[in-house]
Amino acid sequence: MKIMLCYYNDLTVLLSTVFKELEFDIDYLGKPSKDCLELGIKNSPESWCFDTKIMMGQALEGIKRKNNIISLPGAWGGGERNCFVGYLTRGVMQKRLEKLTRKKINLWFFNLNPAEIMMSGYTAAYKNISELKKYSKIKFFRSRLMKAMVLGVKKMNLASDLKQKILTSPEIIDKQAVFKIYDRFMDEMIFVGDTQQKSEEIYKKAKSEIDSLKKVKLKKIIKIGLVGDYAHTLFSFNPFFDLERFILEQNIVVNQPLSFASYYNFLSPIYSIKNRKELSKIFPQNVSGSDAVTLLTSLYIKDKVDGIIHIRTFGCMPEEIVNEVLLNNKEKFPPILSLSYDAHTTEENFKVRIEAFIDMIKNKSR
Amino acid sequence: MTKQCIIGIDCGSVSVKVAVLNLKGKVLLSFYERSKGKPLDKLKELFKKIPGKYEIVGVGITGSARNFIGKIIGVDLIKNEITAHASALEKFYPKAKTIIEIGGQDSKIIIFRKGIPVDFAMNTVCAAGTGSFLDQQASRLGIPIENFGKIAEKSKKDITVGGRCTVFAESDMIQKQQAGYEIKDIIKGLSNNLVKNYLHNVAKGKDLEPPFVLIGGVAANKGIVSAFERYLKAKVIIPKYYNTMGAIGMALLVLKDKEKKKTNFRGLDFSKYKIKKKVFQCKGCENNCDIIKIKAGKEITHFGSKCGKFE
Repeated sequence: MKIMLCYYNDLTVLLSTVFKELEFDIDYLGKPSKDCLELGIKNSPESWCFDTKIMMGQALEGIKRKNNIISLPGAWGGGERNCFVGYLTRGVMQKRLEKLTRKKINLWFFNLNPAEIMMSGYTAAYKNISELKKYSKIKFFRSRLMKAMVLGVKKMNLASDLKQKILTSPEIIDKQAVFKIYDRFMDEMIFVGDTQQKSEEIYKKAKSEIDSLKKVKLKKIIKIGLVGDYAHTLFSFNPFFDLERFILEQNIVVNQPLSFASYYNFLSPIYSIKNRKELSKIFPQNVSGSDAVTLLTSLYIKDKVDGIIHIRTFGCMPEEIVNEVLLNNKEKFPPILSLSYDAHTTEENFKVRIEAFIDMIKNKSR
Repeated sequence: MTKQCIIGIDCGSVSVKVAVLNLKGKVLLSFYERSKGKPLDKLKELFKKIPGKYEIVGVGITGSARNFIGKIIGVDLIKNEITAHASALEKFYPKAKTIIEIGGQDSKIIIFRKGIPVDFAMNTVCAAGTGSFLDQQASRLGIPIENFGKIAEKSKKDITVGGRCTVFAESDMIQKQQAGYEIKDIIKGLSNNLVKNYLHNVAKGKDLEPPFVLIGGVAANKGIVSAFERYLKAKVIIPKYYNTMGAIGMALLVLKDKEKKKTNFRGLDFSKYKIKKKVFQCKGCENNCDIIKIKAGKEITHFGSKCGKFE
């Protein structure tokens, strides 16, 4: 069985480990390309959000490449009720894909609900991945899945560590080289890192290569927090613009505290009692949904950064709520730049705003 | 005897602005001209107006064409428009608290506190009251844009014209013309709604405090100015250099940045430049980026690659 896998930050490594253990052939597509977005736009109704158009493009690319199973992300933060992705995961996207391709599609959405993953131990993730049992012919499914998850989480920790290292190393001159090392590291973790020892070797090699890159001494380190839509803060869904890379290229530290590794290790710092108490003062809702994740992240980083960039998909209701909450409580936060994007947002639109925001922060701290 | 000076350029979507400042930051010359789709040719014309007695020791550029033109003419600093405007206002209007800027293609708000910019926003919704749209409507109605404001001021009525989207605003205006409304009332309605739209979208959630300063080409439109004053219930200051603030700010930024470095500027005479431009598509990956290759003298510059392959 051939399964499609795209880039989902550190989670890519866990998923690939599990897919391998279930004896699937992995077809790794990486980050979405411009062609993928075009395919998604062409085959989705205009009302679908940017993230779902990208997912549609990924699915169609995967089908074109003759994958038997198409794996895609579910709704972020468990906000299925008011999230468009959540609606599409309930058979809507599958129906559309089957209508377009005129064949049966095996579509599998993986769980992206951090609170559920953390609070249920591995149970929620296990239950979700068990949905793949019907495609796997392996014996001792349960024990092999558990074994793969344990190894996968360890590998995920390494991937998350390396990403954090990159995001906090603005002093490296050749940013292009850093991201090349990271892309190669991810490829090796997916296809070569079959044991913990091998994965650690890959990690150490990538880390030492990054350490050996030429650095410049920065007079003052400016830190920008990145919060908002997972498609942009974690999955690099926008083929026109790599936000993390662009901020790093301005010699700025990117503070992006979310990682799937922290959820699977049950210690995501954003869910601390103190943080949740603070959230209840500005957002009287249950701690669930992507709006809560973004607000908890913003509260967690607010004293650690010089400014926050809140990025949201145009029309994403949870993130629109966040935008409103942040606006109404702006005195509690450092300067916030709110960016909204859709399938037609250009790179230049983002660049001007981010550059001006960084200049403003530098000017303020002068 | 030559005088050392700095040039600031603002190459926007509809106009080119050039400012010449001495090394103390005093404005010696400033020009504003519509580019009519040919910013480089217009810049060439404006450069011819700069007297030979000035020795150019630094050049900075801002505006939407900044990267492209900056590489061709050779500049020392390239910055975005918000930073450039903020720099000029910091020097000339340190007491201003809210800066409204309406340009050809975008509109912005910059919030100043104690003389430094602390917050800003740019338009996200279609047009939101930009100069290009006003130009378009003036030309459709056969009225010179310079008279647009004066005509609006003659109106005593308050009619509503949809200003959220340029397409809807235009069809609303046409409908009102067909229904027999007077042109002066339609223009006033349009000005009011563009201002309302600006305040509801661009300025949404911002602390709007006086003194207010309005800059950008649209500041010349009296109808828009009085609409702002009506809605903000305060006087709006129009600076002397309201339409060249970006260029002045850019020159000031170069001045701040300058540490006796030799300028990269290739000179005022464009005919001496040997510029070749080529556009091709990179086939290195599925992104198929459109790459612009510019050869200016011996220097070759590329734009447009997402991965930085050509940098």
